[in-house]
Amino acid sequence: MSPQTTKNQFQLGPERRGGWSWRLSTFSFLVLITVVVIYLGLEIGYKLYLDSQIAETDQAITQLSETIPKADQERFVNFYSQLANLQLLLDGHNKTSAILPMLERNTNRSVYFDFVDLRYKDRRLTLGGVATSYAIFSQQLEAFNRAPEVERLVVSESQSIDGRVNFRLFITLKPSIFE
Amino acid sequence: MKPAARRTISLLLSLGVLVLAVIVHVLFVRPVYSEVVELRSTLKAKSEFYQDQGQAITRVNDLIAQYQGAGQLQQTVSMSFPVSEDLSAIFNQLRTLAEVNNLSIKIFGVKPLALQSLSERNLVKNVGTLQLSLKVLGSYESFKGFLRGIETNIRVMDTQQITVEQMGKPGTNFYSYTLLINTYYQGEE
Repeated sequence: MSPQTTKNQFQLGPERRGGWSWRLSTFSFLVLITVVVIYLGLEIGYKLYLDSQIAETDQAITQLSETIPKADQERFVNFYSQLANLQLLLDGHNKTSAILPMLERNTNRSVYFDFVDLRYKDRRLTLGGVATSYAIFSQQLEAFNRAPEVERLVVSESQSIDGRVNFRLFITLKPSIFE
Repeated sequence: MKPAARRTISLLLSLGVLVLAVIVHVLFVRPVYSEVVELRSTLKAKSEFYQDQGQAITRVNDLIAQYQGAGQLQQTVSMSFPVSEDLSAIFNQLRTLAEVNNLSIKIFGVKPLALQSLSERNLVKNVGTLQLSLKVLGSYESFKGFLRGIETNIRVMDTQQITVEQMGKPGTNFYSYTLLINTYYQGEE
């Protein structure tokens, strides 16, 4: 409002000067009506629209899951599960036969084994055998000590009978031998 | 009525209406607006889920189409890791391996172990384990071939324990071999 207009307004009579209060009333009513319209719009219009949209989406999701037949779903899940489990089983698949070449490489010609026991879980190999003498037995121990596949070697017992040495060894193998 | 009084009444009325508008806003509009915001976020989440599901289902359909064309692969996988215990197949495979390697089977037993979960993925089912106990007789070379055969057998088998004992006179190439072997199948759940 320009200064000239304001000036004119104050130059009017008292009835005309009261016009601003009615404009304020009109403004107040407009604010109230706007608030009420917003409320009704949200409550009756937008909220119902959103509810119906959510219901439609729910229905679409339900229909979507029905597009693949149950039997196909089950067959596929079974196959997927088989593949996933098979991969894990093959990852942990062991090769215990690797101990045989290891024994062949590291066994003295004058030694033979009459008992071999392998526990894969503990990586423990028990060997019972006969050496022709303590000197040969000592060479056999040295061969196992040097073998890269052996983690730990323990002589459980050794006994000389008629010049031959009967012995029993506990060997802890390195995990790499089974890979 | 005097103009001043009229103006006062009009002013009070305007204030009253404004206060009423504020009350309507606070008591009605704001709660409804909060509900609407919540509904909009729900709708958005569900729409995104629907789109994701749509894409996933398209991919699954493609996979199912590929899988239906991969019957041979499915057969091979089922031979390596069957969906049932299939004991007769196990025994036949071991018997054949023993025969091929000139070993004679003396003892064969099966002990089912508890189902176990190998994977944390939801769709992956539990794995059943059968512990086979086996005693075979024969030469060292035969046993080497037999053990390699078990390791490369179509059905996955893991040897857990091997005990070799001399049979007959010391130094002769004839032994008894006692084995514990784990083999697996897919559980129902």
